[in-house]
Amino acid sequence: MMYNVLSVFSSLPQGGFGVSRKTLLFLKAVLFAALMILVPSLSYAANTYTATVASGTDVTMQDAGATIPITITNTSPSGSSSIREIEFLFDPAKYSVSLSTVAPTGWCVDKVDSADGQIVFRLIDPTSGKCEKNANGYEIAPGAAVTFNIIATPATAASDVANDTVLGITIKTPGSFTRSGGLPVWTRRALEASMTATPSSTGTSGVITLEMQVTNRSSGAQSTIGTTPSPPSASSGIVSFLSSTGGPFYGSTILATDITDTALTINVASTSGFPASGSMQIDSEKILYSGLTATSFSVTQRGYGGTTSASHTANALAYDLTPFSLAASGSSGDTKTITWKYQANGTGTGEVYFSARANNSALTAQSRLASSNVVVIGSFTAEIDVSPASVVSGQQVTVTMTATNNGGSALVGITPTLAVCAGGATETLAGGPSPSSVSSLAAGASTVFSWTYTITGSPGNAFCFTGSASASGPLYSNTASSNSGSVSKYSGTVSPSTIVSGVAPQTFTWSVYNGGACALERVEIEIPLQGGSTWNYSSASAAGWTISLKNGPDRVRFTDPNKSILFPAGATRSFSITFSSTETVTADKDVSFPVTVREAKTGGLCNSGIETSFGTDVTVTANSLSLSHAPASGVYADGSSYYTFTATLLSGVTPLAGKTINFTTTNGTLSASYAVTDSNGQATLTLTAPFSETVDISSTVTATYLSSTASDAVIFLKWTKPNIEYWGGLVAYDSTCTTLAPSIDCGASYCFKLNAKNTSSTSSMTLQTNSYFSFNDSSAGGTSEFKAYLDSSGTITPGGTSVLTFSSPTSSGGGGGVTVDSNFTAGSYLPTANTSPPPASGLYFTDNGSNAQYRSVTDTVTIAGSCGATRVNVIEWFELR
Amino acid sequence: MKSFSLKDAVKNRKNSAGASVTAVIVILGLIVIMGVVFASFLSTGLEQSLAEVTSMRALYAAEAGIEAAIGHLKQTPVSSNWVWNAGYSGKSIGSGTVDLEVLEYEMRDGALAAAYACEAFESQIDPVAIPPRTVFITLLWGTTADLTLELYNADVTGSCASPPGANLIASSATTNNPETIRYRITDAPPATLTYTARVTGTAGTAYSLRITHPDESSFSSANQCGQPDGPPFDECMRGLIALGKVGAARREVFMGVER
Repeated sequence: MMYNVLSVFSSLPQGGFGVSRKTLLFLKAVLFAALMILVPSLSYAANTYTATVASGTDVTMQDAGATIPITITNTSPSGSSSIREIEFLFDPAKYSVSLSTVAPTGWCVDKVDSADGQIVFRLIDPTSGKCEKNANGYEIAPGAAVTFNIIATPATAASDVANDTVLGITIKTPGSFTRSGGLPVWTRRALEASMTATPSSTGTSGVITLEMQVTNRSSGAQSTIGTTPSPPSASSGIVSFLSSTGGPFYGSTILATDITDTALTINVASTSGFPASGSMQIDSEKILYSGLTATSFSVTQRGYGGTTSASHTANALAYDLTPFSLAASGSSGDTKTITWKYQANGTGTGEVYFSARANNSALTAQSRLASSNVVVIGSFTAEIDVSPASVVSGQQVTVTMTATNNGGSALVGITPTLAVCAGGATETLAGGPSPSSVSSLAAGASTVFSWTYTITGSPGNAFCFTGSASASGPLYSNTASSNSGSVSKYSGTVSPSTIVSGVAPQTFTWSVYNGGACALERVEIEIPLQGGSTWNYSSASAAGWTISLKNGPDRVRFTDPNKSILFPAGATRSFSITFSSTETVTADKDVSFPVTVREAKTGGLCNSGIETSFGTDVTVTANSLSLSHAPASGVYADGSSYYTFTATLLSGVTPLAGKTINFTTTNGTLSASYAVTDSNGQATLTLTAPFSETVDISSTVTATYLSSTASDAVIFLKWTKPNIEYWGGLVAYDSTCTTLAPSIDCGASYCFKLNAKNTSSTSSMTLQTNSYFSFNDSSAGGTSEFKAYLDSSGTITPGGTSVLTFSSPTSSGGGGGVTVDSNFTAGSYLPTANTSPPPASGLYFTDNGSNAQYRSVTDTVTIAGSCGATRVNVIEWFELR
Repeated sequence: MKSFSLKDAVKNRKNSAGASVTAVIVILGLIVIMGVVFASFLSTGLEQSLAEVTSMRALYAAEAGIEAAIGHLKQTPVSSNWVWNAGYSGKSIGSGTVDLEVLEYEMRDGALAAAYACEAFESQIDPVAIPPRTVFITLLWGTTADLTLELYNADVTGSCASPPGANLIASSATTNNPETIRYRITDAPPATLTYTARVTGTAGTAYSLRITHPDESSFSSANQCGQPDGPPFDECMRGLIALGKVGAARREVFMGVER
């Protein structure tokens, strides 16, 4: 710029136009002086930037993880200076800037002062690794832009606050920049909303329950909570809102007893959360009530709102139709749940999710746009998850694929296929899939395959996986994609990551992985503010480390007394902190525990003492969820035996009835992916063993309700004998085994055929005629049993498959057909193995030696409706008056 | 003796010119009286007939209530329907209503090994709006011996020879056969209570003891009833007491049923 100005100056005419040389010299001097004054200012005026956030950006009050994405664009002309150091100054009365803020690639957080609302970003020096002002290729050049995702906790207010902004933004290096345009603005939201769609996989006619948990994070009460849009919008047309039975519902309980279509007293598990008078919906009937006790409603009108009164059975869900209000928030926030129901349209397959904002009736308090998890719709689906999602280079991750059979009959021979996505990181298979295949999957059941991968790459590199499952037929699931993970320099997890409201004392252990090239000399964990906080620090421990409290104290510092001995590169270390009291909440709440690590100065590249921060969170749940299993142990990995798991959901000591609990497992097959709690707050399902003849298999089942989780681990013992499993193809014939039976009626005689496979790789088995196939009607309250023995003995070799025929009334074989008891109750029955008959159920295989085994059949048997009407005999009758 | 001639007769007729009026009045009076009496008889008969009709309707209402309850108990799945015990309260049937209690029915038949026998049974009062509360016991025997029946509000089987008098809450010591006791439990729900039916009489007398009471805690569609006797358990059976109401008429029916 200076060069050009001087050139102009020197190009002025030399003594022309009748002007004296002296005057000309004077003019030149004046012009030169003027230019000397103007040039610097012209130069500064040209160094400009803009600070913007995306339109519609909003954050939630009291959200410790609230992110404000401010984009800095260098609008200077080409050839101007690049931006190398930026300071953002927030109003500390409105925002508390967090150490958890992660700088953009090539940048670092140089300073965070939450008391002053200050956060400063610099560039990482490529040589020293320090946070410096030197150019490193990531500075913001003219025309370029970088987004700084600043994590700050927004303060509460009575309602939504529009046009929040920063107090100032300063380009500190170089210091010649001026802002063009206004400061960025965004909105602070009063409500927090999160949505969960259940189940995560369903059939083409399946019903989806959508729950939105709304929490008031504002200091004002918010009335008549609803959503925009209402109901929440679905991302795909493959599902439809159930307009007459789909809500919105503002609470729920379950019926304690059957009720008739005229009953005016409705007994339920609990009326907690229901208003003193209002309306409710059971199935498709709406009901007005005028009073309640702890366990009953007094009804004033059945069949309200144009609906028809009807009888309802015990355990049916009773939904609250009255919109709720949310009390002014304390630190924990008042929270309630809105529920809707959708149904897949019957033909379409694919993925769908739901989104909406929560709002009060005046629309002065809203939430950020909330989106649910994705629901996969199809008769055979796959879902993939990778964990942990944040790793350091060289760390292993576990990839799980959940395959679900949403169809009406069993699938056999399920095998998974997995591939990696392009993300920058390198994924190397270290093990899996485990199991390599699953023999059969009953209708409604799901199973899990898992892999272990080693992730390598530079910080910021991403990784993900894609894949599908197949079954004999062949049948194929959808192609699923996992969540995306990324490589970071350090990683850390905290355990437990979820605690129950108010639990005390409570110890947390942070497991920190050093993926850098240098040893770490200090690890500092930020804890909730002490003094006035409900979190009270008690003690800390880490073997060999010196522990001190800093800043209030709101930080626990672990220091290596030897600087570089305790935490070398590539190592994992644990740090524990115990609190004598924790927080009591009425709504699930995430509490942030940022971790800052400091490199030891050991020379070479490791001589800068760089500090790096990353976030860890603990969720405090309002509900407690526990999980248990039976039997305690001793279940074999034979592909058929199973554990029964029971999840118990409590709010304090009160059971929560009618709530949907989601289940996942790391191994084996779950009988369902979710279950609804009964009046005792309990939901039960089974985990069927995978097959293993070489090693014991461990499996961890996890139950989830909103933010509450509970896990329970079991061991399946290796099965070293021949292993005959049901392999599909269950078909009923007439008694001569020649003509397919159109239906199965009581009193008639039948023959059953099915496929069986010996999944053992080494041992054959000769089945004897006292092997049998059986089912019973005990699940319908009946006492009848059908048992057909094997017609003839035969050997199944390792890996071999045979068609077995069961039509013999006695263990001698020979066929002839077996009669279905005339008292057999009509219905559909799943012949699950019963290892302690009677009543007999499933398959019993014996070679009259030591290899006897009970196996489940994963297809159902349907007994015709004319069978098994319950008979009642009158023993005594007389008139009393 | 004075004889009456035709002349006298004519003369007399002239002297009794108002006699016919009197006779008519008398006759009419008699007719009215007879009519009133007849009408009275007719009215009473009608009232009796109407009362009988209403009473029969009340009986039919009670029977219909029993049939409805059995229909409910028979529904599939039996496992959840056989344990239904909500009963009915003011359920509309025809021109009347029915109240119905669904109870557990137990046959504790036996023979007196001594001069007494005790049978304990468990009842659970559920925390529902209208829990079943009736205990109804019948004792029958086939001999001329006279048995008596007592009800205690505790398990007194251990002191059956001489139970604590403080626990005696009802007794039936008539000359009738059967003896019956009907007792209403008043304890607040939830409550799990144990009572004892005690039979006294001549040793060796065989008897039928039928105990109907609110469900024991283990009541189900399986064969596991009989608490607190312990295994082997009896079949879980049902006793139904239905009160039909039509106008002022009340008819009550008992039925014991098994699956």
